[in-house]
Amino acid sequence: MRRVSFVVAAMLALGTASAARAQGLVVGPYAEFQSGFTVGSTVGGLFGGEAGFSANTFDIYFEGGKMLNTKSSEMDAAAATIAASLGQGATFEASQPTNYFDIGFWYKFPTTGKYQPYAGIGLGSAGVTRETKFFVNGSDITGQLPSMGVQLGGDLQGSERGFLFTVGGGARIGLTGQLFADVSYRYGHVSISDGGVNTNRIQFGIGAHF
Amino acid sequence: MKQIAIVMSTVVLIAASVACSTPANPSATKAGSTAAASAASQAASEADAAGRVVTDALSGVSMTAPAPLTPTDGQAFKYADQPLTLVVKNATTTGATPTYTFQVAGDAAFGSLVFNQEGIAQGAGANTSVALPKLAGAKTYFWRARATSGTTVGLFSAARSFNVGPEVVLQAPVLASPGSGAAVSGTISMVTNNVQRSGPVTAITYRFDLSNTAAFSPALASAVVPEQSGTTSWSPNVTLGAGTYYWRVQAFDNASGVSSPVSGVLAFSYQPFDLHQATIVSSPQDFANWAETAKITSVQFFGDSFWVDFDRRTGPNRWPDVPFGDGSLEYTLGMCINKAGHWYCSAVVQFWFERDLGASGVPSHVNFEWFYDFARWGPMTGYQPEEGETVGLFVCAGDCRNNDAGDRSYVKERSNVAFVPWSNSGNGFFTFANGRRTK
Repeated sequence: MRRVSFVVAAMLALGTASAARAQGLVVGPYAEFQSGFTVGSTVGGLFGGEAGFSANTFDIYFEGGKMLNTKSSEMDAAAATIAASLGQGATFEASQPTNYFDIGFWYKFPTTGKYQPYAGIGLGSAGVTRETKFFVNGSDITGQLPSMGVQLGGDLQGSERGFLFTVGGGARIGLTGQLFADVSYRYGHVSISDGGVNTNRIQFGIGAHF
Repeated sequence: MKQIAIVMSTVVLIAASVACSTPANPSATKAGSTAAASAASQAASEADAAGRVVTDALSGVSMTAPAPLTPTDGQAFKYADQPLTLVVKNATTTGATPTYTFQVAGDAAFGSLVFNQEGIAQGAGANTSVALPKLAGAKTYFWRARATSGTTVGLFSAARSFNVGPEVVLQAPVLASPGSGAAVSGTISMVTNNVQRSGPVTAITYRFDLSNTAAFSPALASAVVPEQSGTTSWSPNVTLGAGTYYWRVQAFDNASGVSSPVSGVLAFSYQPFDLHQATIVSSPQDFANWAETAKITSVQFFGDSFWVDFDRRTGPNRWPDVPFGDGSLEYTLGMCINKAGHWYCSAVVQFWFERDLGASGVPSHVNFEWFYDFARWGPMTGYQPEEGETVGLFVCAGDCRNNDAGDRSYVKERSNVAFVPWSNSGNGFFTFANGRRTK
């Protein structure tokens, strides 16, 4: 942690130095709340936050949040296979919530208007959890599956944390005072043992400079 | 740009440091997961080669346990039903086609496995099966199966039990008569000693085969006969010509499904008996032409006599008496013996109505109580049948002793000639129905 603190301090110092030559919309520390959704085989909500320091031509940021469902079509197919084997018209609900955080860098494109477009990358970590429930006649029978000889594997349940790479871009729009709005798209890839999870976040944020 | 490069490097360092040093996110395995799954989870919880921190590997596949089909739970098998085959409905898996493990144990906890085979390929259809080796009898077994898809080991199916009945062993029958090389005439009666056996035998039957070839192809006659006391016999209902014949016996315990080895094969020569070809000695010379109106019904040997009975000895249809001295005679008991390949027959012992059947004489005294006078019995004089020798017995109506003319019989009727193995020791009881030996 001491090493991390040292590096962060160094970054802030660099950002401050750059702020003296700031040409962008706003310079200095900022924070914002984000919400939106993920798109893929299913659409799921998300919420999170981002804080950072805006320098003249770039931002250093830290973000974290939770994507409520990033399940793949393969997960649905696997759940359907098991449900079919149960018979009795069994149904299922599958979800794959993903917690994430990353630290990154936004390059701010030169602009003179009220919009500040940016693009960049981030690196961090994400925890992917798979949850699948099975129902017969509306009753949750997930807890009874072992006694029914059904073993759910990692493709339908469990969690794993992996390395997160994210890349994306967006634009901030100045509002009144210190407030700003943020619209962005961020692609992410979580490296876990079954080949990884790809996420596509479309986010809407509102924040403030300090 | 230099600033950017520095910042980027810093960001990468920080992120990598954080990602790699983040403690594992505790993620409890869901309730109901198996110990195997837990073990896999624990193993996966360790950092892998790529440096990822894994709390609960997501690479495992989901699957159902194979469903046992046969044997059904508690099914009872005869020992002879083995080898048994275990059949399961294939598991469903979200991963690769699974292989199967089958286990059979002597206890419900599967602590004492008697069979454990892994890596059995999934069957082509909906089911997968495995044949078991022969299991010990009189025992209850438990069996189960599980599937393995890739590295993921599935749950065992629910255990089922089955029972293998006690082992029944039947030794090969030992044939009694006719013995190897024996000469047989008349009704053939094949006699086997009852088999030695072990285990809970219920009802044993014997299959007799008769053929004119040692390979029993073709078989002339076969029959399945319930076991009798001590020995079991069968008389084939076929007409045989002169020649060599072969016979064999196999025993079966139908309840256990066990069969014995086939007995050894014995050969005997059969000479059809024709009364017209026999030499009638000191009895009516046209005896062969007398009407056969009676049937021998039983022959029983004792140490001091042998009893020959027939169906017209008593009753309203009995043969009429003929005068004899101050009394009368109903019939005369006779015997046919085979001497040097030729049959000789003579009626010797006279019976009046209701005379004791034991008046026939001592079996071992035939040579001097029956054929004692050369002047009358010529080639039969002094002849004593050997133990087991085939001898024909008959009766003729009236007084046939010393009567070549046959003029002391009102009806000139006779019985069939019933053939039995002679018993000087007085052992043997034979019954007949319609002239055929039944015991």
